[in-house]
Amino acid sequence: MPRTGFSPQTLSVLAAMAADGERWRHGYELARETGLKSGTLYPILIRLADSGLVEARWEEEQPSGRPRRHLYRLTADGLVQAARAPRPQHGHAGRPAVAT
Amino acid sequence: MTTAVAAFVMLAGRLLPTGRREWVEALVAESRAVPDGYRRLAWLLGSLPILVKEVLRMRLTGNPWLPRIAMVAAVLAVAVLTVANMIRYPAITSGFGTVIYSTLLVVVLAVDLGLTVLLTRAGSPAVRYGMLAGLVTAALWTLGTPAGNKFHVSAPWLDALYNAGLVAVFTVPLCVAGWFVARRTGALEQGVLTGIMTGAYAAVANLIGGLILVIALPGRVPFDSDVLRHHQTPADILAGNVGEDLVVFIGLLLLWPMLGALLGTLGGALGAAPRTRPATL
Repeated sequence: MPRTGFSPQTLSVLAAMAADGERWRHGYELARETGLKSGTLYPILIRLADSGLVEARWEEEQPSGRPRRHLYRLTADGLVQAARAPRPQHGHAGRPAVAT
Repeated sequence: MTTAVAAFVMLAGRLLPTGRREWVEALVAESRAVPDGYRRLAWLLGSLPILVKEVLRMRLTGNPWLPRIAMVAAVLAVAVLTVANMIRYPAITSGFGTVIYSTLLVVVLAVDLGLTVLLTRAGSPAVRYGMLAGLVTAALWTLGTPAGNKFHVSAPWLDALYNAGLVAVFTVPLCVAGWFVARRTGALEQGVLTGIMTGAYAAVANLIGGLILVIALPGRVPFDSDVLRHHQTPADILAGNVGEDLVVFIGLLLLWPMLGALLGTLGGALGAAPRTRPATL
């Protein structure tokens, strides 16, 4: 049974990802958009992926000088859940990022 | 500094199974996009709570072999302690119910072990949460029952409070565990299974505790308050401990899981019910 309630932080992640639902996003990009620290963002991404709301993959090409990055985007279920979810409250999304 | 932290995080991440290790590797790889210095260090340190939580979850509670090994150890402990009691008190095997209760003991323990293996293989959380709740229940019940009877009080309100506490210890964890797992999984059946397994594990742990107490403190741990009140000779107390009361302990192997099914259903129904207020995902 899919969950119907999300924490404010999860709502901000869903909203950020749903803004451009088809695009694969980097973790740091999501952190900047949501203002969440990595220690908050990644557990949320893990739980969303476990719930089948987010899919993840590695960059296909090996860039020079740095490791491949992990990419995330909402699944079809995730897009539906994000559309149904209430909008995140101010103070949880759009806050200055931890590493801008 | 950040390089050393990144190396440490990657090394610690190797403790995790592949599916979880990938997330730690992702976080470390992403740190290269974060401006160097304090910000990158803060980004990397964010992995520590994840590491701690995942290591605890996957290694201590999520590992299917740990509850299986614990259950096998419990069965062996029951066998050894039962034999020790039979050697120490040969009279306990002389009753007409010995065959019935011995068979019941073997069958129920085999079922408990089989359920543990099947449910862990299916990835059900009922085993690990049931085991945790069952151990807490058994610890309180096993120690609370003889303690209350040993220090029997005459004040009616205190006696009532004590008995209410015992009833709560006997029942509430089954319901709460079922509620908790159903709430986490959103599945009523997982709540029911957790209630059953909580009762099963509580009964096994309680049996082990009883067998130990009978061996360790045979004349001073009267489980049955009626024995203490009306038959106060050491011989009567001992007979009560190793005879009637152990039969009750074995009977609980059946009663407690059945009660767990009932209370797990109740708690599971509450936990699986849709919620209206936001909750942590």
